[in-house]
Amino acid sequence: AEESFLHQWQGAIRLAVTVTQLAIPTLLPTIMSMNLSPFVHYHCPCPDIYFESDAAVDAASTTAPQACLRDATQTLDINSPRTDFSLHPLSRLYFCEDCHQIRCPSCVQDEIVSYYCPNCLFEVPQATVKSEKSRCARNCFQCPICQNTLSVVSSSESAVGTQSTTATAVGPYFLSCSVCRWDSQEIGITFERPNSLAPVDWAQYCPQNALFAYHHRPIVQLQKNEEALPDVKEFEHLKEHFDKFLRGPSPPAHSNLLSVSSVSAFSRMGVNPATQQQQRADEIGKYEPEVKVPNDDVAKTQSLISVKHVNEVTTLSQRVNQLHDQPYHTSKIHPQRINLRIKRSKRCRTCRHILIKPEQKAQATRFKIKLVAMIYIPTISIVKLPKKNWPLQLGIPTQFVLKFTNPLYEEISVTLATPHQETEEQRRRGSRTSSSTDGVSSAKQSLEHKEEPKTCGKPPFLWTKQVTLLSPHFTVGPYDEVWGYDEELSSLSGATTPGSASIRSGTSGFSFKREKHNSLAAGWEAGVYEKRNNFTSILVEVVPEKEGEFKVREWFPILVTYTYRPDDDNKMDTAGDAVDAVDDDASSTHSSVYTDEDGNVSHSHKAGAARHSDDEKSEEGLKSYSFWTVVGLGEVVARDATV
Amino acid sequence: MASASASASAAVALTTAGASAFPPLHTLTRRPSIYGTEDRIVLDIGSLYIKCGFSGEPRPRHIIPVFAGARKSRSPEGEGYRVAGEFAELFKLDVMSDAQALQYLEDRLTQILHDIYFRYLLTDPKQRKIIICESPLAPVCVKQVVAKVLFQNFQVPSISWAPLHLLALLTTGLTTGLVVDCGNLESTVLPIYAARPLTPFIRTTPLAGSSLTSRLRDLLLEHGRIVLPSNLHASAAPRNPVPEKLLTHALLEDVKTRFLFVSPVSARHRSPRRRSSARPSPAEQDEDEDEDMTFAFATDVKYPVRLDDQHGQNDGNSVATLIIPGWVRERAAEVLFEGDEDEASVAGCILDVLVKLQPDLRRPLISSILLIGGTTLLPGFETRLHQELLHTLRNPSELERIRYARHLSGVAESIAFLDDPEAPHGGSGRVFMGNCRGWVGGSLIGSLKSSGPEVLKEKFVGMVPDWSTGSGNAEQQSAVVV
Repeated sequence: AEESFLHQWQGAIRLAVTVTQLAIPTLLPTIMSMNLSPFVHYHCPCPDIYFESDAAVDAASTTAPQACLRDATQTLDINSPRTDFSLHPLSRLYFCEDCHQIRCPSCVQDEIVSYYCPNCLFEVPQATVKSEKSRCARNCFQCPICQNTLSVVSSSESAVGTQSTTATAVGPYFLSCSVCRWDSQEIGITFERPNSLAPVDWAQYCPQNALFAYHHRPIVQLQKNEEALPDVKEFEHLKEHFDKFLRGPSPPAHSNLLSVSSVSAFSRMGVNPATQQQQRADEIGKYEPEVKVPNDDVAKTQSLISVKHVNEVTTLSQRVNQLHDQPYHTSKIHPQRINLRIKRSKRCRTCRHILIKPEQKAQATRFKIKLVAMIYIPTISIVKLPKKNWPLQLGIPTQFVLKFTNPLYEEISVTLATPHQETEEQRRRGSRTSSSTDGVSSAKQSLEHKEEPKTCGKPPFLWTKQVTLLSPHFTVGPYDEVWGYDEELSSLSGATTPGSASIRSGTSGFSFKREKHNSLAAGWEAGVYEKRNNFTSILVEVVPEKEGEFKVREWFPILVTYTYRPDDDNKMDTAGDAVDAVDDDASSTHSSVYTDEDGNVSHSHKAGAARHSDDEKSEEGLKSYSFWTVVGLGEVVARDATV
Repeated sequence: MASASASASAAVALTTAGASAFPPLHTLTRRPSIYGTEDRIVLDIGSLYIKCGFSGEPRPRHIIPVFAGARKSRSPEGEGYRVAGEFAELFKLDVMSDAQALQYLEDRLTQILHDIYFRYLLTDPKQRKIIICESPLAPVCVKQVVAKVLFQNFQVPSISWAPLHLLALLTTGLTTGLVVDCGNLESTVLPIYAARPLTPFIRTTPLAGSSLTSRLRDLLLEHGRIVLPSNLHASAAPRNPVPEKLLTHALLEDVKTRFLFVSPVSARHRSPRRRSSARPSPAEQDEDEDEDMTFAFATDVKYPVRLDDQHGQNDGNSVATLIIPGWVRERAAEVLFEGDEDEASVAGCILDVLVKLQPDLRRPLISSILLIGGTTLLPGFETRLHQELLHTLRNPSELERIRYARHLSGVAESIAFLDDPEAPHGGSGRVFMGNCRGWVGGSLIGSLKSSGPEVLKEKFVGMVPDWSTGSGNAEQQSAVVV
């Protein structure tokens, strides 16, 4: 089964070398719009979410379905709606050292560390969380209009406009929203003291009319009266009512209200005539409601008919903050206490190791354990070349730069691949032999992980646009804190940049290709735009092609494989993270893919992306890891639009 | 870990409690334990909103729209996760036909439930059992996906399912009633007698919230006007037709929930032509609209709309005004009462159910109609529904006479709603809102330590109990025959 699975993988890569103009990269204008902005998202296949149960369910099944499953996780169909949920920016990803895999927010397990109020940052004990319905019991309220935090201000203070202290600030206080300028005086809520937690017996203000009192009570009562609301009373009453029925003298068969209503009970009623006993059990007794809430439907309709301004009517999000009555009119919504938040620790679902563990104190922003992907995985960013069209235009080849930044203390060797495409273009110039790496210096060769681009013939990728990685293989220098302080040290990295060298010599694209054939050593890193410190920028060319009228943005996947030789002395935080044992058949698993001139690709053993721990290569102590990224280049405009 | 955190923070608790001398708020409620982990989580998963909270509480903690934050969005500043996402229903009625839609549902549910647990309810999913309020005709595959996500991803200890309509009915203190659930995807009418849902007599119609939304879109496209930002005075500014892409689902949902109401009387009852139940021709429809315009008296609403330029950027000044005609606000909901032979109106569904019922059940059920679901919260809905029922029974068209009035003579006088405090069976009025009633019932049975069929995590193999599957099936059919 594994063989057949492996045979499904086919690899192809188009190595086209062209000359680019020497230019200083500038960052893209950050974001052009919400959804059409350029991005580099990393794909997390979340292999372990259903791990346990799948193991239980599929225990007896053959390996074939599992191969299918693996297949599904290892290809990346960017047209599938699922990818929306498996693509994340790097900053949201974690990395499990033990599994040597990316973990995303949906494939880690969350555990609650502590509760706190996001406004006053007080930690709340769990018992209080329950009794206060996970809202802050202190002075924190949210605006009924815009849900921002309210602050307590004195009316005299606000009138004078003094910032200074409580000496002058007397008299009625109220809650004020600094965002939407709402204040509680609008709905007639003021109170005497800024410390609103002091318990006041609100009933003394208005003992007769509870409803009036509810709407005109001081602010403390906003909290206290949550328990005096009609629905609370009625709910308790209902509970007693049904409790009596359930605990009453009815036979045990009917002690469960819902079992009466179950299918079998229903059919019993339908098919057999109800027995006497059952009829008795049915009589639940007359229910007298505790409260009677008048029907305000007509009044609501009337006020809606004559609504003058949009803001008179509450929005749904305002209404659902006051769930017991969900009023339509803005004047009837009240400040609500702020919902608490939690600090969470996160665990890898597979190995149960903790990936994230924050300090328990609400004020502390540090983490005891913080295994984020950013310190393990190269950061990829998009850099726009000057004098290039942006946004992309339809049908016009455009080059841009992908910048790989290495967070590791070791030099990494990166291999890029795009999914196989059977296009004429690709056949014409996509030929590439594994011999291209032959001339590389020995150190690099040992680092070079000859795993070839992995693609899957089926399901076919639907997108047809042209993506050319000008430099599918390159190295990225190790990270060193020193570089953070002195940019000049970059030259010490000693790595010349073949790309720029050739550009300086003024070669054309054609000559550059020839150069590659003549001198493979130089061509190995052809297309590298810049190589400094711990980052390497490479050139990518895309030809945006319109595909269907809904296609407005350009994006494509890249499979990134990086290899490094872990050096425990240098490694900052890998206590006990020993290099894995050498794979027995490492040599066979690392056999290259041969691509003949027709672009047909022979299969690669072990072609699967490193989604499983067994894919972790350790040939001569090398570690490698593969992951899919999706590069989005933002909006694609018609060719005419910017001419 | 839990005990450690509790003891570590106990000091803080004492000081805050001592300083404020503030009595606990829960004095009225019975509290089973200090951490209340035996309180179950009650979920009412709709296609647009998920109601969630803890059992034993009289209202859900939160109503969470599935379309906000369900998808990744990036703000100009960076990566925001909670930006309102694309508006999409969680599932559609035909979800079963599309495997990919199910997977998509699974992914979205995972994300939403994660938010529910860790941002809203703030509780560990592994500790609490779950009660799910389910509609009897909810697609079984949706139930299975929900169960799969909860069991496998969140590892909840157990899930029990309880029929939504019965739960809602229990919140009135009664066990007999005709529950009308008018939600987003469909309206369901289910008679319940002595706590038994008479599921074979259920009637549904797709005329519900989503059809109201599409009607509203059509009306706004044709009759709405937009005033683009300009220096002209509002009265002089040119009024342009509404561009279609402006009417996003989110905008329509906002208009629907804020400015629509149901006119108490149908203008169409005045015209005898409309007594036929056939679908009106386009010309007739125009006439209808003319009538609607004439008889409507609601004010026009000037609804501010933020315009984005072609790059989606916003320069801050581009706020246009969408003018929503008053009659549109008043008459958009007519769609719910315009049934035909294929799609019965909401009132038609109720009458269909009554006709199918045994005669001796008709009167007790018609006198205890309970409206639940978000769409019934439209102001005037109940009044109008009452009018429609009365009108059909008293002045039936030829077809209606054959269909309903013959069987239901004398029933008209008994029509009453359970949430009307003046009605004979009338209980506590709208002490629980219609969109929460099902949830409140779930909370109620949860606090009574009662529940429907339960599945434990260890026993879960992908199947969920449902009345439509399993052993109950044959008995159901025989019951229909009887």
